[in-house]
Amino acid sequence: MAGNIKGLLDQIDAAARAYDVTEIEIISRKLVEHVRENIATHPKSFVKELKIALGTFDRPRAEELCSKLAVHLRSRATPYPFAESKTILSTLRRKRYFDLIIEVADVLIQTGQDEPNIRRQYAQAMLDLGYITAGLGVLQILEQDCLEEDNDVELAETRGLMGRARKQMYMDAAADKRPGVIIRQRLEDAVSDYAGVYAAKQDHIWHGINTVALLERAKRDKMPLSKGFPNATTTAKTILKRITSKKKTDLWDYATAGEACLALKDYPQALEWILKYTQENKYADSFEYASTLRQFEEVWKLDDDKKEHAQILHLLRAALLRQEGGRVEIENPTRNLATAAALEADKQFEQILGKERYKTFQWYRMGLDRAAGVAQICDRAGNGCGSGFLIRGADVHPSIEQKWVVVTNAHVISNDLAEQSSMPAALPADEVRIRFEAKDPNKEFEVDKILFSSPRTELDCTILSLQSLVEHENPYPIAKRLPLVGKNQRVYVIGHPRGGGLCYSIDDNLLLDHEKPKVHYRAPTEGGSSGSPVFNQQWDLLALHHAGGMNMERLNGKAGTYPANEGLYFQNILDAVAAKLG
Amino acid sequence: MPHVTFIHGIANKPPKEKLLENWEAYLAQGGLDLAAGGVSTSMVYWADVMYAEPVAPDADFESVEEGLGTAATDEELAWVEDLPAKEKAFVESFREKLGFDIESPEGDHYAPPPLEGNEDELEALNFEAIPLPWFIKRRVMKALLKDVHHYLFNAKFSPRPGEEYQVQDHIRRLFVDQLKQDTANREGPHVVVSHSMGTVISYDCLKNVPDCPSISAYMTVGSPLGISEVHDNFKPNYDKRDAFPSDRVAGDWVNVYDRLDPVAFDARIKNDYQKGGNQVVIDEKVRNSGKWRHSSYKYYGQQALCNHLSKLLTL
Repeated sequence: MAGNIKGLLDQIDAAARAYDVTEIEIISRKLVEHVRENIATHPKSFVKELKIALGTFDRPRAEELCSKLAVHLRSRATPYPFAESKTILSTLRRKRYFDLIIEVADVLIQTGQDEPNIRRQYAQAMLDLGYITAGLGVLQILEQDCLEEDNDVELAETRGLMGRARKQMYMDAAADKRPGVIIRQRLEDAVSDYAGVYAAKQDHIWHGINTVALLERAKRDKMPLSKGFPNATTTAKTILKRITSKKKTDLWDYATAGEACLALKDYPQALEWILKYTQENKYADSFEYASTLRQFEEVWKLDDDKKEHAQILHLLRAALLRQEGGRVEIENPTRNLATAAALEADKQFEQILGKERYKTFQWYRMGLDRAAGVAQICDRAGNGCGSGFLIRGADVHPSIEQKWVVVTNAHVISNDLAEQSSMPAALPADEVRIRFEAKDPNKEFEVDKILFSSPRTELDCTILSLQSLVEHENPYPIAKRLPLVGKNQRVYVIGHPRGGGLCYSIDDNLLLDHEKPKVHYRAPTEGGSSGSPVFNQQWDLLALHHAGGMNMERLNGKAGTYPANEGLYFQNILDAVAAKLG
Repeated sequence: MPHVTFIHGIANKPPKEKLLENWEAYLAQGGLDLAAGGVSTSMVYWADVMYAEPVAPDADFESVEEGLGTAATDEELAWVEDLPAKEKAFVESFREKLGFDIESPEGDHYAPPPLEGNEDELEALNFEAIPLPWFIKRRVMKALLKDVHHYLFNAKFSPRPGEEYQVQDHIRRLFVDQLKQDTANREGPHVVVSHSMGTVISYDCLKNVPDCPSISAYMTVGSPLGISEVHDNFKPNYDKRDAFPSDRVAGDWVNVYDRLDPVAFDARIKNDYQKGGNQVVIDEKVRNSGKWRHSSYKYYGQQALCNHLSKLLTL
């Protein structure tokens, strides 16, 4: 490998001495290709490349790198270095590419890099993907090995994960309404895992707080546990005292202290800690905030209807949406929008947040407000086929009399037979039912008429009026210009993902490029369905989302393809409407 | 594409790219995300003309953005001694106006209580009344005095061994060259946004430098332009009835001030910079938080400033 590089460098040197520019270019390309192909043999460079790919949500490049690593590992005489192995897995984890962790960790372990940390991350990825039994199996073997090797640090982490696996089993079983005795045993096992580690050493506050969370959950679920477990309130107080007496606190301490205050029913203090936690956004990413939010919603069962709970939940959601790759899911839009609006108007809450955090909150609230105008497009049977959104008729064209019209893709609704016979097939207007989940999920609207349509090969847009009046306020401001490319600009897609299930999701996307009328952006996860509105960072309507794929052709004459979502610039749609309607 | 050319103010600064990034972020905090609105930006950076090296990029901006808290910016005034008589007279007069020779009644760390009553009723801000500790006020005023003098009197200055500048000539060139670059082949509004001493430089160039390009609109923030020692020393002669740089500013001039900003001494300037005898400058008052009211980031985080800039850029 090194020999090849040296040979190529010698050739470049010779070409340079001969002033042969063409030859230099040819050999340089070979050199780049050689380095790319053999990147895995240089662990530090590999980690750097992987971080670049993950930083831009470039999943295919991450997959390619992981495949190259796997090939290299199989031909390697010695185990891959531990430090880089660990970093590779944790980096993949921060972007939630759990399947790639399993792919890489499996080969790492097979080829000799079977340090407990690697096996633990392997098991953790299984849990994250929902393979609880398999993950638990790996953890149980690891637990024994840690005991034999007196590896207390890894033992504590392993048992913590075992607790997490059993906690998940309890939650799943409870959700499935399994017989009480089975559910109770799972909960008891989970508490035992966490409490055992915490009892052995109270430095393990993560295990301690999970013990508290589960004991409180047992109380709430009226699930009697065996005696011998610690008292939740006392443990919460001890944890809190330990954190406040620490000379140096970190991100997780804040979240843990917040949980301890929940156990003590001290909501103002819990809010204070979560404020600190969300303020440390330089050191956190969307993964951390999403995990905490999930813990608060699923384990602590915080409820948006209670003001003191809603404050904490919305604060976490706002922090999550502000982070790169953040995705906020809105399952009960009517309630979520109302509680967030009430908090925005609450002067006391404004004071608690302080000026800057209040602005972040206002920004998030504005995003939620945009969701109020998003529609779900369904067929007659009520199956979700896409998204759409309300826009003021006068903003589309002065001749449009209707106050509000709906915009969606032509490949979702069209009376054009060509659109109806293409794949995916568009619905004819008279077969469409439209719902606005944030207003009244039970009310359906029918199409009055199609006012404008442009085929999927052009602007992929249908604008239509409704048969009955829809109550709506706050029209979307329309962006007058495209954002700058290369300035780490984000765009936000609000839609009904995968045709149903969740009501809305707001996805953070990295703006990749634009060439009128196309705008390209990329999110870490799939999301946003056809016909969704795409907003710029100021929540101005920027584009109509219409497609996404792993092999989108690049824009502005650049060769090749890349994974991207594609939207159509809304100003171009307005121009086309003006050209047609005069 | 619309464009904003920024120019910074007194005292040392972080490196150019970092300063520009920070200013964009502050405006976004105030509700104006320039990149999202398709607005490009540039920075006229002149801190390296006056200082040997920039402030560390990751420094705490709350305290050092304007050079506060760093011993290096507590300017010695030895440079005054060898000045020609006319310049010395200017310095003395300006020094008296700024008032930083006044002894603190309670020691250097004494900070007067917040002003009571209506800030708007203040004619000009009095050094003693500024609610900041004495030693900080003195640093700021010394930095302002030095920057204003060196610029207006085109002093020779050497920030680093082997480099010497005629301060006004060099900074004027930096500003004009940046503006030329920013106006070339550009469509859409072009606005200059200047802060603190940057308002003196940008005004001087727009008014007095023959080859300075024209712009669509102008914004001054936390400006000392209202101080008579400043405008009386613009060359050629300053005439308040025709002081608006009409030849090079096609649209509005918005001046944003805080009455307790110690640099924006005579904060309202519409009377001092008239257009054909008419008061057309839009003086916009804001109230920055905390004691230190001159910070660019506090100004840029103001919604009123962002709304004005948004309008000037026709966003």
